[in-house]
Amino acid sequence: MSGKASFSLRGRNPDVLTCIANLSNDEVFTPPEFASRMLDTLAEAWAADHDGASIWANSSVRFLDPCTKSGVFLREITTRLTKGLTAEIPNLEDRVNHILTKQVFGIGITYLTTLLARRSVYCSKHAQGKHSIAKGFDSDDGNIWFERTEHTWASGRCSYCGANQGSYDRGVDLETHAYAFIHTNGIQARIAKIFGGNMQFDVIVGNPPYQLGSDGGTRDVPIYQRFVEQAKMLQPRYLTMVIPSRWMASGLGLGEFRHTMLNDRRMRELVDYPAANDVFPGVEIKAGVSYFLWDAAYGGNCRVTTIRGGEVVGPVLRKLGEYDVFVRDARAVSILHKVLDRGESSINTILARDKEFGWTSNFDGFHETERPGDVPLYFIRKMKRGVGYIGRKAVTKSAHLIDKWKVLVPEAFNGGDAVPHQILGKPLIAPSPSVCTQSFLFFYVGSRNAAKSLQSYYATRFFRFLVSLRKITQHATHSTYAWVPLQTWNRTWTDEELYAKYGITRKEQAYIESQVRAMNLEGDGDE
Amino acid sequence: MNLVKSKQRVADHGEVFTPSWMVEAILDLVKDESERIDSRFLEPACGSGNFLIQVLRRKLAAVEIKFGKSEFEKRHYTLLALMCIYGIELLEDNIAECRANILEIVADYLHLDESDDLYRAASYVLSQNLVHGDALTMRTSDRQPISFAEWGYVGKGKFQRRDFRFDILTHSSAFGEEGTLFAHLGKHEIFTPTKTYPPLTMAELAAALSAASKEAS
Ligand SMILES: C[S@@+](CC[C@H](N)C(=O)[O-])C[C@H]1O[C@@H](n2cnc3c(N)ncnc32)[C@H](O)[C@@H]1O
Repeated sequence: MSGKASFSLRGRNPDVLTCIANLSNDEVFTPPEFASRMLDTLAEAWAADHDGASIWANSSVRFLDPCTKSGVFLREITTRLTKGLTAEIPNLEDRVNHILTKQVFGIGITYLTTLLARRSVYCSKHAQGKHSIAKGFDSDDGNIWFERTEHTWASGRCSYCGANQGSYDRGVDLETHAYAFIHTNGIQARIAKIFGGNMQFDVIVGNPPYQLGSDGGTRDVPIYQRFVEQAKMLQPRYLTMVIPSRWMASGLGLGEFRHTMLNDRRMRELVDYPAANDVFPGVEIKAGVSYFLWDAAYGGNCRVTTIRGGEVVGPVLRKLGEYDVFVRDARAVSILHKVLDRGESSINTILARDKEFGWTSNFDGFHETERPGDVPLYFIRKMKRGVGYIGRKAVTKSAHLIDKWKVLVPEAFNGGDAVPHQILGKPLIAPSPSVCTQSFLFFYVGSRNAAKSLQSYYATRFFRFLVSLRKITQHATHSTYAWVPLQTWNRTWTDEELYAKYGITRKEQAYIESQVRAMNLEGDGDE
Repeated sequence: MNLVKSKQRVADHGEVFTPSWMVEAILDLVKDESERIDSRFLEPACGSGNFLIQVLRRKLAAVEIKFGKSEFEKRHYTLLALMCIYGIELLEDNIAECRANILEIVADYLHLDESDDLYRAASYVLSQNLVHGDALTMRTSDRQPISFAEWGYVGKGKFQRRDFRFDILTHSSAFGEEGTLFAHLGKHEIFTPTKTYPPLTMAELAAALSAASKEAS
């Protein structure tokens, strides 16, 4: 042991590393002096960030020289750690062993320099060799790794490092100078592989189950997002899955998932099928399905393609996280910009909340016929609209909204996957005073004329188009209306007037009309 | 192909199979990886293997191009291709179907019968890589933690194997999330497989199949 024990103490005089000539112009050896100064700078920065602590007294920091040549950095680091960890690991052999097996890592750039680096750090070009100061490696490479890496030629140059094919594509006997560290798109994966780290999946694919049947409830609980989240935790190089598209704008408990997905710049491709029937004939998946490619090494806008019944829009490069929900069809984005750029308040400032009066859809505590002191109560049961009566005193929630003129709008409207779509159910004017169950949301205004004006606005394609961008399932909640701007209630609104106000071009109008059907306010409004 | 086995299974297990044109479109997004023999693919709810089957087909095409001329290499790289395919499936009939579908592709490709070492080694690898279990709880059907075998071909007919626990792998994002390279390497107390094997030959892997089935009976 004595020979090895003197390792840290041995004055390298003269230091062999000061004597070697450079072997080739991309193996410029760092002089030990210079390496030493760099490490001092590192130690100062570390101390500044860690309350004055010495980095060399830390037994868990790991050091990687991703393109080690002579091994000078690793050797200098080892020397300093050997000194710095004296108190923590008094036994010299244990200490050196810990440092070399757990703290100091290198990736060689050529076969020869890798041997040199091992010689500098382990005092032997084989980590398990007789003279090696490291015990406890199970391979001769130790933690200084080299493997011939090939360039990836694309029109005469390496697509990773730009090396010229003419000079570097030179057969198996010569060094390639393709540094492993940069000849990969997934460096973490590469490092893990090199040092026998965690098992790495290159690709995770699939079509996970979409929901758990909820026990008897009306809504199914989505689980596909858990498969996606788990897959990301495994840190693959690529992740690609088919999942329902519902997360893009709504979905029970999917808020956080939506936020993460939309703001993840590693989302590289998104192919969206708004009508699930185009993918899974005969299977109904509200809001359709989509598949995506997530690429660990990508950062940027996402290529989005929308496919419906064979019609393909895109790919369009889009920033998924532009809004809190994803506007699925790129053709809608320019229209939305025109509307939102005016900065008008949203119509949901005069829109009731879910269960505004506190009664669920199956509430039946009302009277069939009016009694003194009653107010009309609007409901939908068994798909039929009806009016009953309830004592004014029985209204304990939002009583200040009783004496308002209301435009009642059904909370749910399905109508299938086909376009053009009606988007929302027919509205109904409820004179003041009135109340309703959860089956309706309502806009509240001050007069019959205002209610009529608002109703005409609701019936426009423009209005329902803006709703459609946030309405991805049958439910139209308060936030679904967020992008519809407030108007003045002094006229009958028409699409022409609104198109003119917002500067909607002919092409955009045609798009709106292809998506949203005209609404006829006459006739009954059964759901 | 039928995309649905039964309405009840759709409702209970979300079992809808992906049409093959979409499988191809998705694999084209990762074309290079799918055509690389040793890229590792995981399908966490693999059903009867719609994706994995196509992945294997692509890998075998690569084997044919690269090693088609040498019988020895071709056999070993076929096994390696298979070793890089992983799946988890909840329903027993699906996972059995999945293993059988994939084994059939290998057998067809190399005209193997059941007595061939490669057939038996492949069958053993599939029993290890295609897990009957729950991908979310990360437990097998008999409630053991799921573990995956990481295989590698070290050349000269030898394969190496290290086993990792799936639940621990999912913590790997603690490693290298942010910061510098130095920081990356600081955090992974989990760089250790649960088991490491000495290098194994194809014959030894084939023997492992008999050992495993003896144990099971
Ligand atoms: C939508 S299917 C997809 C099947 C196959 N990936 C395909 O695309 O053809 C989902 C599969 O996940 C399975 N599954 C459901 N829950 C699971 C879970 N927790 N763990 C593993 N598999 C599950 C189902 O049995 C079903 O085979």
